[in-house]
Amino acid sequence: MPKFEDRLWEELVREHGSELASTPIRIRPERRRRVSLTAGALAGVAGAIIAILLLTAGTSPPVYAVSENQDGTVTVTINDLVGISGANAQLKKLGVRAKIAKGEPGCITSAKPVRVAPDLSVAMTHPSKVGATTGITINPRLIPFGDTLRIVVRRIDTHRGLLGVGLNFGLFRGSAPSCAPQRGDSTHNRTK
Amino acid sequence: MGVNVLITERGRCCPEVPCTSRLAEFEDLYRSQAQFVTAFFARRTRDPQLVADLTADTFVEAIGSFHTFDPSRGAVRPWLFGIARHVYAKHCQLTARRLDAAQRDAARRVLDAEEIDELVLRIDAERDGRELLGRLARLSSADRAAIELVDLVGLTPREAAQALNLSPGVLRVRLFRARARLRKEWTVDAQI
Repeated sequence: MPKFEDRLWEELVREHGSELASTPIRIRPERRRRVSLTAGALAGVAGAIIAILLLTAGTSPPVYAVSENQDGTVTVTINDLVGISGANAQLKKLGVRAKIAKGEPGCITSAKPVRVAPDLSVAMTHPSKVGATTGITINPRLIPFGDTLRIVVRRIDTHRGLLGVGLNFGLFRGSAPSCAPQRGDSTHNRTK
Repeated sequence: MGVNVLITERGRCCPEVPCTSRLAEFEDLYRSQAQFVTAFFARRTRDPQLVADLTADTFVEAIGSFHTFDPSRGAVRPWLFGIARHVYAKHCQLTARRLDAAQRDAARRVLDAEEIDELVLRIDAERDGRELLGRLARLSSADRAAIELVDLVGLTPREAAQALNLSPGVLRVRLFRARARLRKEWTVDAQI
């Protein structure tokens, strides 16, 4: 970087660094709330994190849950694919640069992730055990500025015939596509 | 059983301290955009000191409003150019009232010879851009801005519309009109 810009950066950090460091991330605690959904299994795809959960249908579970934890973390629970839009709306309100997308047959997108799990160099995601359920842990602050983490959710059938939900992750420059091609879908590499 | 997606602020690379703070996010922004902001002012003045001051002012303003920037609403460059335009308009207003020089003298950054040389080179490099803006002097400032942001800076019409706080449709009309006038003037000049 040229000297002028280097020196200016040093001055900005010296004089305004504390202001910037204390700038709140776009997570609003008042938005904190929790909803729930139906159940599923978890499977990672495209060489990403793979986990399969067996589903147990609740009586009338909420469709999705988005809640912010006391340490500023946000928990999203998706128990059915129909909860994706609601969960995305909540993530957007919380300022988390992540988008949940459904794997759909015929989805056409030319956008390619710049990184995919498990090659995401910063640990934005990892499976975690929460009570009896398996989940994913994401650090929103580790999502590079201007990028969006896409979480693809796919409905799958296990060999037992039970419904499962597969997840995989990819990091996109700017916004992420709102759908993802199904695995093996011939439209996968088509462009608009 | 449900599928939980946990979004937390802690990741593998640094469990206790967020790896990427707002400061680091802003540094990414600064390092990727500083040259464009400097060029923006280098097209407007041949005074290296003023280019340096206005560039610094732009980033100070950007730090102050960084918490309002939402990447899901648009790219960073249009947002930054919106601030740069505001900074320059304010400078012009103060200059017209003969207030700016006194204020700037009081808070002037001291540039060393190397920085001045570097900025002079940048100002020289923007000679064509200054000439183009000069040719557009008879257009409205919004038309000039449309040409500059799209044809010189390289923003998409949608991004330029965002920077100028216009609808994309209005921006396209202005751009079309400004380009047509520019072509006409150049044709006339060539005939002369």
